[in-house]
Amino acid sequence: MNGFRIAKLLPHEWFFGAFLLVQWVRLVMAVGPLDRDTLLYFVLLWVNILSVTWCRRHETNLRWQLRLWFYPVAMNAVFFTMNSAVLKVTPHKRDDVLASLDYALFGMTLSARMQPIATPVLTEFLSFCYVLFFPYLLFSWVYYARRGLPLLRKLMAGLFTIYGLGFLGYSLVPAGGPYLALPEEFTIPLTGWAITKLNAFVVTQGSNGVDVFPSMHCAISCFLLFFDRQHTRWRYWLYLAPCVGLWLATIYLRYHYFVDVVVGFALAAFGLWIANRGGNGAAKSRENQPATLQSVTEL
Amino acid sequence: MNHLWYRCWHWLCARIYFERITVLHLKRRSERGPVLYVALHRNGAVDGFIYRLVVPEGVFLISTQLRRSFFARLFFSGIAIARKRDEEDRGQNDAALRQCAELLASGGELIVFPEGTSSLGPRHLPFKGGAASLALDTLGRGVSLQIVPLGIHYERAWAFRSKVEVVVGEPISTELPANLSELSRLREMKRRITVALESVGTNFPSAEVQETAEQLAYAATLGTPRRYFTSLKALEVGVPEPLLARWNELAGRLATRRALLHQGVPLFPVGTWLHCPLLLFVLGPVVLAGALVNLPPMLAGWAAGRRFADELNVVALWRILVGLPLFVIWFGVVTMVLGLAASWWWALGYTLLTLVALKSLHRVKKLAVGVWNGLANRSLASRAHEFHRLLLETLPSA
Repeated sequence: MNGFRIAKLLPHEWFFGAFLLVQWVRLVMAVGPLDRDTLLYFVLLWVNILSVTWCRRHETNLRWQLRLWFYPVAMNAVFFTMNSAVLKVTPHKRDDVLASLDYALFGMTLSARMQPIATPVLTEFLSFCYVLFFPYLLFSWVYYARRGLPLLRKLMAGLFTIYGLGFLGYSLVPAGGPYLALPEEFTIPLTGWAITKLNAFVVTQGSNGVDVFPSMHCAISCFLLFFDRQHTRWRYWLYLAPCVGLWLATIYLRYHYFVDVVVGFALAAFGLWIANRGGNGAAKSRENQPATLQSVTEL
Repeated sequence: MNHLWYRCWHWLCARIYFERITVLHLKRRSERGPVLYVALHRNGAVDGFIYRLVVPEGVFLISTQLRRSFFARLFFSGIAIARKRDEEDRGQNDAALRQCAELLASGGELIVFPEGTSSLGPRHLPFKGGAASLALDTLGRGVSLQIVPLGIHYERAWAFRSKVEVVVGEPISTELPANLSELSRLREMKRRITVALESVGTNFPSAEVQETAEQLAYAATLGTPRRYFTSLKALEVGVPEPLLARWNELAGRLATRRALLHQGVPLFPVGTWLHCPLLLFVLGPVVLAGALVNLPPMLAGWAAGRRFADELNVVALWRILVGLPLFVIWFGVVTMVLGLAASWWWALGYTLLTLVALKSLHRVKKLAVGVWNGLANRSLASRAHEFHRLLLETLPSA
């Protein structure tokens, strides 16, 4: 029903906005409104609201692009400052809680269970799969941005719904991962060659130290893979094997607990459902009547 | 320098007082002069602030009473002419008209209000012949003049942070048959101006019909990209009987409940509307805080509207005349005090709070009405939505 509508946002604007709001409120309560991290979330929250409002006032392609591309910027700003922001509101890491499920199911962490199959070749291959995550995400943005606004909107709706919920997970259950929290469990070191070293360097430099629960590598890559399956079948087949390798790598390379991966897949499914259900909802009423907008100018 | 002052000042007046200003058919506005804009006059001198945004280089033909005092001259500029009702010396009028003719001859843009004064009534006031006479005089000098009509439509002319639409009409033909007498030429030009202004305006048989049409036109804009003017114009011939009957039925039911209205329309949230109270919960305190920190100028503006305005069409003007200068002074003082006595971060915070509160007020009002009605009168929501669907089906979308 379209009548008497008060607000219509894309799903990811709710989820990511809710994450920003929750984290901001928690920071205000923990360290006050003028703390650097609190101010960052406050600014992001308002830029989010303003970009949406500006676009809704008069929808143009440029305004839609700004409204959508705000999220990759905000995601990066949040991710790289998350260590301090999260530890201000949740001072202790919760690796013990996450590891307890692995212990209950496998007697030790699943990563430790996989030690016997570790070989330099496998480590090199799975490191390659793991590091592919970044180009996969980047190329997907570029590819779907070129396919037009409706598809990009759908992609962003699913992707940033996942990021919003995933970041909320980072914030509520901060953890460093088995390789940082439980090094004593591993008796066999992971060795490889150039790609293994490159991946280790990327993870060491790029991680914020609290980015374990849920596994966003699994969630995002799984979402992108099945999004490709719906919209660009050749990309699905191209990325299928590396993605499966990536999912295995999250455990094999000792970055995640089993529960992180499970929740990551659940998030991917939810993101896909959201993208298919409401990814273009906010634009429908306006797109149906482009002629009425042609003669309208907002001052 | 003068011109820059008025452009900036009028921009500030219009931007602060109104939530949104939309122009329909801006491309019809001529990029080059000479152009004589004939404009409908609805909401006192406030119309001028808005027309200034549409025609930035335009010079207004204004009443001498707007140039009497220094304070008035801060707000109003243009070629001043004494109207009969102004009880002022009309000896300078010929010189003023010559100035108008010279402006047009030199390729300028002149904005004239043919009604002479403003009214928010159901019909336009009688158009005077001055604009037609000026146009013929300019054309007689061999100047290739364009005459463009402008209409202006306020959703709620007096209300703070309401919306406005300006309509630019089709240029009026200046080709006249050669065999016409001077008087006939004047009559024909006046007739064309009247027709053009009626095409960008709306005329209703009575104030009651106008009120209903305005409410329905506003309702038609909700949740759709429809234009207020388009719906209003469609209702000019009368509200279709089935629609009116349903509206009256809905209004009857609402009267027995404690339903809230926004601009005469009962708002109800759509679908799963949990986000409405959440958004109200977030934005409401911001708006309240913004109002509190700017209470003195807001109160002064509100009081001026009550104390000095003798008609609805000058309420907004009085609020702007008193409230805006006070707000500018207040804003400057508070910013300086916070910056110097506390920290410039506080000054920035105050500025942001003021801006966000200003931008959110209209939405918060709608949310408050919607949330209340959603909670207290949920049983009426389906009827209201049904009516809205019927309204959209009945009125043209473009």
